[in-house]
Amino acid sequence: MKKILLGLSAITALAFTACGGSSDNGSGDKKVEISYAIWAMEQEPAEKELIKRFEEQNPNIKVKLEVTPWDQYWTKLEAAATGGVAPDVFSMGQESQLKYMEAGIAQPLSKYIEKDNIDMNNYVESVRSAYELNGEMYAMPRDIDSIALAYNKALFDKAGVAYPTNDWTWEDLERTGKIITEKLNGVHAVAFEIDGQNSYYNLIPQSNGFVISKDGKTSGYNNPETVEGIKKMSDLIKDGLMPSAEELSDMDTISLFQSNKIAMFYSGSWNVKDFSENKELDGKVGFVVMPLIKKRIAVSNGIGLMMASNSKHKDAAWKLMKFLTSEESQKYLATSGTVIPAYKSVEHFWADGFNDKVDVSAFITELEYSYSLPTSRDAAKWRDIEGETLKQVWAGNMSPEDACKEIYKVMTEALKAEQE
Amino acid sequence: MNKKQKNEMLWGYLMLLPLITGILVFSIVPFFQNIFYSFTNLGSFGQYKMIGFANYSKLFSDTKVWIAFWNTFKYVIFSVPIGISLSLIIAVLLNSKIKGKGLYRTLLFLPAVTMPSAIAMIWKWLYNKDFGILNLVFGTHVSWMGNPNFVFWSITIVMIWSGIGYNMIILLAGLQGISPSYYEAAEIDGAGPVAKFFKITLPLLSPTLFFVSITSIIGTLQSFDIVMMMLGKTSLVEGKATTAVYMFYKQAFILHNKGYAATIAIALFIVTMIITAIQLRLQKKWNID
Repeated sequence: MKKILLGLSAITALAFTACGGSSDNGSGDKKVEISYAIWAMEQEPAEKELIKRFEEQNPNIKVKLEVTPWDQYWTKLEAAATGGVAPDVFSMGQESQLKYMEAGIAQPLSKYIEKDNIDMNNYVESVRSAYELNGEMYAMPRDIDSIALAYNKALFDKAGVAYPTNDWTWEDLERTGKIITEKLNGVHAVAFEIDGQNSYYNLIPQSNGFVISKDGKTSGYNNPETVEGIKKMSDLIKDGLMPSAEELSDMDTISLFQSNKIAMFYSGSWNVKDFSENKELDGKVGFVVMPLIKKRIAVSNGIGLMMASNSKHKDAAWKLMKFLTSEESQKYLATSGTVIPAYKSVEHFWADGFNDKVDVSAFITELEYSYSLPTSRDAAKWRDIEGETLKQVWAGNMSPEDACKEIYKVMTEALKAEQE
Repeated sequence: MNKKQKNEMLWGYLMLLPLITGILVFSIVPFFQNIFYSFTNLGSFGQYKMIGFANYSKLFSDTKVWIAFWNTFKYVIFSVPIGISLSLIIAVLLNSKIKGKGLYRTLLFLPAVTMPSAIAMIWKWLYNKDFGILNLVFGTHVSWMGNPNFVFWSITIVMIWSGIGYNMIILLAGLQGISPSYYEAAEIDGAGPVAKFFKITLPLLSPTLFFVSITSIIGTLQSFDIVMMMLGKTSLVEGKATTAVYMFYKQAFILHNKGYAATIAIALFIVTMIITAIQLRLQKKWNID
């Protein structure tokens, strides 16, 4: 009995001394660990390099990088936020940012921005505005993407047609597409990924329609121009220039492009690094701006870095965010070909980096007329119906007119529910 | 009860405590929480309001969910009987005197212990219209996963294939519990292999068969991972093949309608209870014979 008591008191004493070591004795001296969450696994090397540089400049801050693949990232982030343990710094995209901003999960940053005299005009407008709410900034713009027309030079040569140019119109696409589809067996002229950002979120505004009004309260699907935008894509399928729903269910668009089964597709800037490292496509891929329908506009989704509103190390987190979005770090993201930075003056370095392999200036040009991904606070609810209903159009089971009516109905209901 | 017995009882409960705590925390309590949340509009970040039976009335008129339940039933109707029959035949064959029994048993059991994501990936490749081996071998150019008429059957085949090994092992154990003296007596009476199978094997195996059929039905009613991974996010024909649990997943984690998702889970629970109750009734009836 005595032995047990002695043992217990010894252990308790040890425990207290261990705890005592980490008690507060001036925040400047002790080592602080903050967590930083991202989803882009392919950007991990670049992030690690930036973190290394940050830790060299800030020896008493340690950054723990958490990489979670896209599919699980959002579930994990939401669970963490619900439990009050969101990462100190976390990446946010434009599909869900409003949700986090309005629920108070994201820390308002204006006071930090003002104190450190950061000029927000240095960042691309569409990314900046996506993270602004009621005059308050909720994230630091980190990067931006855009969409351009990618084409397979080898297939164009085989069909004996001229490559697409930056002056192409939609008619040029259709005309050339018909020739390619007729001449080359088993090859389709063009395809789109079923996701809005890679297809109809461009086609709709390019036809002068819109998906959701700027104030986020009205759906644009009852607009005849919006229907026109959808028809552009469904007509391609009807005329055989684009693979059927069956074929797209079998193999996704990117795999089709990489297997030389389609000659063109609307590519995101995030595909460029992959394509440039793919030996099969070496030297065979070209990029031009999307062909003109009625006006030039491109959708873009910009990542912002948010701070958890209940983070225990806000100052350290802010230091990291400031560092990652500084001109130097942004330039590194560009020169390493990792991603197009949101910092305007260094954007072109991204394209320059690929110049010896492939000309990607089209993406930078598209940024000049980019607009933020259409979204609302509970966008997931109507975006799901939008995608499902349009799938019926691509499969030929529903007319674009009926689909848009259906989507308009659902979206209006969902947006009304958000206002309550 | 004397002190020693009391002591032993205490230790008994202590030993059980970890397991019971786990079951309570991860199964029992969430089960009741689920019932509670089905009456709310639980969404993101744990915020909710009580809304009475609104979720349930929504469920009654939600055709997509009905279709998913119907698909799930179809999977059960087709993959369970075929699967169990095949498992039974293979188990009987493996129980006889053939060479290499151990090797066959291992090979046939492998799919049961392979990760569903690996299974989905390989089969998707096999089924591919342009580059899949199936089309190569049969000389066809069919889109097994893209054609709305085929996709259900393609997935059913994968379900059967991956479940055979597990049921086979259980049936094999059941078979080995049948005393060989029955068979010897039958042989003396002049019974052939078919008669032996139907008059001895089946009746004596029926408890095991019922167990296997109940667990297979419950498992198939809950199919999710293989279906979701084979369909992926870009499939345009998923309406023909999604399951009830996928609807739950979609509502809970993609649309953030956790209250409604809880309702779907309750509906599936009720359906499973009814089917299992029917099975147990039938089992009682048949066992008396």
